[in-house]
Amino acid sequence: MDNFANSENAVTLMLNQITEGQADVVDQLLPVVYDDLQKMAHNQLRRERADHTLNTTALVHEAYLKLVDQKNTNWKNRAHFFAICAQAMRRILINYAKSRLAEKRGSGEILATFNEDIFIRETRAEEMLILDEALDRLTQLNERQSKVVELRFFAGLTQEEIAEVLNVSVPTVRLDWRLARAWLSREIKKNL
Amino acid sequence: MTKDRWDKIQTLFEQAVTIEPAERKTFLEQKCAGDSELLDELLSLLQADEDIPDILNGIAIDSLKLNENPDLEGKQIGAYRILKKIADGGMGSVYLAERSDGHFERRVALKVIKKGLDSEQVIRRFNRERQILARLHHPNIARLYDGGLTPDGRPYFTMEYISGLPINKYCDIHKLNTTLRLKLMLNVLETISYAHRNLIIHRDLKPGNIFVTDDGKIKLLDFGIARLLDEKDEESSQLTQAGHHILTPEYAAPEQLKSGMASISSDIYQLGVVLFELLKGNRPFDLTGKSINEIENIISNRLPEKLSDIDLQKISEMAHLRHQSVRDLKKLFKSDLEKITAKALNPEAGLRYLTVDAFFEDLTNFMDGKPVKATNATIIYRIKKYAKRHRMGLSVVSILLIFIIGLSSFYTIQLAFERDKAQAEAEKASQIASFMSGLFEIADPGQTRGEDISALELLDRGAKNLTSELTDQPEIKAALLYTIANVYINLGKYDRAEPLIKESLALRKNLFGINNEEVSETLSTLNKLYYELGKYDSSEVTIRQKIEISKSLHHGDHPDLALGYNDLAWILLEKGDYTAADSLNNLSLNMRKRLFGYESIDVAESINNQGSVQYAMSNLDSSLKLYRESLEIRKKLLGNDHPLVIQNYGNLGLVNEEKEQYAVADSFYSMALKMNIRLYGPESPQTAWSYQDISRSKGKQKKYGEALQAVRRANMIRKKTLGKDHILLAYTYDYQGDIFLLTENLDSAAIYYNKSIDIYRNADSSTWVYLASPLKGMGSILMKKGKYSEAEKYLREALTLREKYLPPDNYVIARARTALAKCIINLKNYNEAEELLQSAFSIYEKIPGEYNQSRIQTLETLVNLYALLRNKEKSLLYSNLIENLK
Repeated sequence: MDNFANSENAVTLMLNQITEGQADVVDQLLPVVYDDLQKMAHNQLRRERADHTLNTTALVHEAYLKLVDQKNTNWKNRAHFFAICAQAMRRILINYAKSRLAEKRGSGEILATFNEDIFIRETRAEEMLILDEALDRLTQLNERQSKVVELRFFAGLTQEEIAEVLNVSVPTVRLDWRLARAWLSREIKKNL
Repeated sequence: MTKDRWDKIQTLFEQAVTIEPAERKTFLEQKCAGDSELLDELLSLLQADEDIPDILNGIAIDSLKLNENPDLEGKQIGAYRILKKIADGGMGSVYLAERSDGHFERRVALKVIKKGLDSEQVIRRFNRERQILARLHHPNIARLYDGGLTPDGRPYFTMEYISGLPINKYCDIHKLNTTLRLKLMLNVLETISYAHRNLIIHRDLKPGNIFVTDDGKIKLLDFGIARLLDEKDEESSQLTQAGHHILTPEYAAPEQLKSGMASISSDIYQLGVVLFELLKGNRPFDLTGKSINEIENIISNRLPEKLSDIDLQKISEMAHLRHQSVRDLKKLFKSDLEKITAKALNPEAGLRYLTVDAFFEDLTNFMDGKPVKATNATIIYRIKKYAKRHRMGLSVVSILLIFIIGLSSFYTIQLAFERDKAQAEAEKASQIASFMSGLFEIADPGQTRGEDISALELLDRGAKNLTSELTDQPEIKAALLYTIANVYINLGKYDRAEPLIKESLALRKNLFGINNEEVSETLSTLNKLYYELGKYDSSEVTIRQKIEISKSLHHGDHPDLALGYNDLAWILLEKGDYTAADSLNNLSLNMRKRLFGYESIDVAESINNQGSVQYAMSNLDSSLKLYRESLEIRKKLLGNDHPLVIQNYGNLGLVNEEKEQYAVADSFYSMALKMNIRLYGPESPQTAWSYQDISRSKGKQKKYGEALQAVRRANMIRKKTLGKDHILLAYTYDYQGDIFLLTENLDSAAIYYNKSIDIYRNADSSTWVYLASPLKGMGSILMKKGKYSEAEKYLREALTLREKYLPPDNYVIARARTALAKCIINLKNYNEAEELLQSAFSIYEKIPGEYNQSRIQTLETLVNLYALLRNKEKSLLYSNLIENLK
């Protein structure tokens, strides 16, 4: 399975199957994308130099170029791939936030270097977990809006790319994002 | 919530955001008619839409980044090239950098504020660290070099680069035995004692901040959260309340975690933790994985681990690593060392060592095999009780204790170096302690029948007791008199300080002769007192004595001598002897350049004072240049928020005001006001100065409403902080009179001028030059009322005072002459009026281009006078001059 799954062709094949309506294939593809993205994200997170916002987007695009056979694919595949990436990134980053908070509670060493910087990062990690839970609740209310958040916030896609992935207009994406963002802001403030 | 409901919300939300924010509520009220729940939901979402948390403005991965700081390695900052990052602290990073301007090579540690953390508060704390370092000159404290802004606008400063290890790691790596460890600890204590004597509390002592260099020297680092003891500790509660994230909880004293309160005592606790760790290898409490609340609970309520409570295996390993026998180590851990650490680690601040010196002394005693001193429990107990009842009085007690520290450390040093005298000196130290104990005894309710005794009364009782006590111990008596006088001066109680400091001076002269450091030190305090009281003549005498002592004690250039010249110049300036002030100031400036280099605080002070001399001599442009020069040096060395920088701003305002550049002046003044409020609070003498400046400038711009408002503030603050008879109040009353006069409110003006005159007449004669001003004001009022002969008396006295106390060519003399001339013209005394006006005009002739408004007044009076005398030719001559000026 490993050899099969790791090849470009396999990913492309799976994407084609998903595009053709075999939704359960997503569950097979997700771990593949997850592993790859995790390694890349890990490097990104550990890297000292910060080029900011382009990172995640670059990450996802890099994964796409690496995992998908460019010759045998189409825009629908691309959209599905991004959607899966966004899910994967969400899990990766939420796990990361969880482990950071666990680190804080578990080790005396972190406590010994207790400082403002760490405090800010911990607050971010807590905010992230609240956001994750709130996002689940939003899915119940409007799935598309929660997808917009996933694609934008976790995968760093542009509004145009999101519109493409979700097959809606750019203004719809913009309005979805604005309402979802307001709702999430309120949930974070309420729960922090 | 249901999906349908959410869809409805979405529709309305989307409509609402397309219309003007102000109209949204009305729109939604209409749409949600009756459904208040829906309306509330929408309004709260719209509100949330206006205030998005940072996290949702970025993307997830950025929020979780480990390092959000751009890397500075290899970059150039000022004259420095960054080599590598050494450490990441709470607010900033520290880099190893190299001075690379080719002049000389020097490796420095460069500390820079973190990006995104450069909020006002953090910057203030950062600059504070820099200021504190600038105050500390000790071989065991990292030295401050300079500072500035990085290309992207973040503040940085450079300090001595220390290559070494945290003290605990150093001890372990070098396998130091217990004695060597204790010796290092003594160095640490000595260094902290120095900081305390400079009124600085470190607040975050831990091995990571106590380094040992490769050649075995202690270096104390990170004064990032240190604070000054003689000011209110407003920030400290924030240090903890905002999440404890600046303190290091493992080393914090219980009260630091509880309330953020830091004191000498909390530093002692932290030193206790460090000592414990150096001895035993672990900290006194196991706090691994505990939350702040749990930590606070444990260290407040449980006893620290005992030194002697150690298993055989651990102690054998330790003995092996320290080249000591197990038996020796066991003996040590059971010895008085246990008592010493336990005392430093007492959860009750009042039961710890009272001072770092006492801690030092006990440790020394232990090492010398002497019994550790049972500390006088009653005095601590009393101070503790006293402090509990008088929360406000605590700062006084702290100041008092600091001076006592100074005293006892003096005796401790004596103790160490002069063994034969040791017994006698120890006796002296204990006499001081028992005297202090006596003071607090008075504060005990049992002694005062339950009356509340204020901190000031406590001092008063101490001072009173001193007059009858210790007559057979003049040295101790002098030291205590000096101490209490200093506390009085710090509290602004000058009248009470004066007899004490004079007695101390007499005793010390008698004991040590005149040419002696202690006599010089006492003279400094006396001078400070005279200056504050405005007794400039006495002040001058005192400084001259100090200068003579400096000359006899040191040969050639010396900081004390430079300071003496500087102070003397300043007094002479206050007294109006500008030429002498100028040359003394230059003497001091040049000596300081030789001693400290151009870029130093001392040189900046001298340059500023030069600016003041030039200002007094009416050389406004060169004054402006000098103030700017001083400002540049100070900003570079001290950062923006520093009292001395504010002084420069105020001075620059003053010169610009004098040059009639009011917009510029006002902006300097309001900058100074803001900084003063930030540094000293809204009701401080410094803030009053700013209000006074603003008021005067506004008045000159004829903005009388604003001027009056500002001067009233200044008066209110001064009455509160300086007392109702202070000469500064006389100064602002005078000014308030001026405004009333200008707004034709003659009766109110007279009230304020008279208040001002009363204060000046009762003050030292050296301030009488200022008395001329309200006198002149009264003269103007009386003239307006047509009472010319009464007015003449006031104006004549004003002129006489100015001629007596000011150099002959000062323009205010010209103004006084013009005023008197105007008055006596009405009394038909034309001859004298002409003389006065001509001599006034000749003063203006010597300063072309300056003070044109006053100059025109003189010219106009001349025109009028010659018109009255029917001298058409001269009348025309002067009116032409006026035309030319306009």
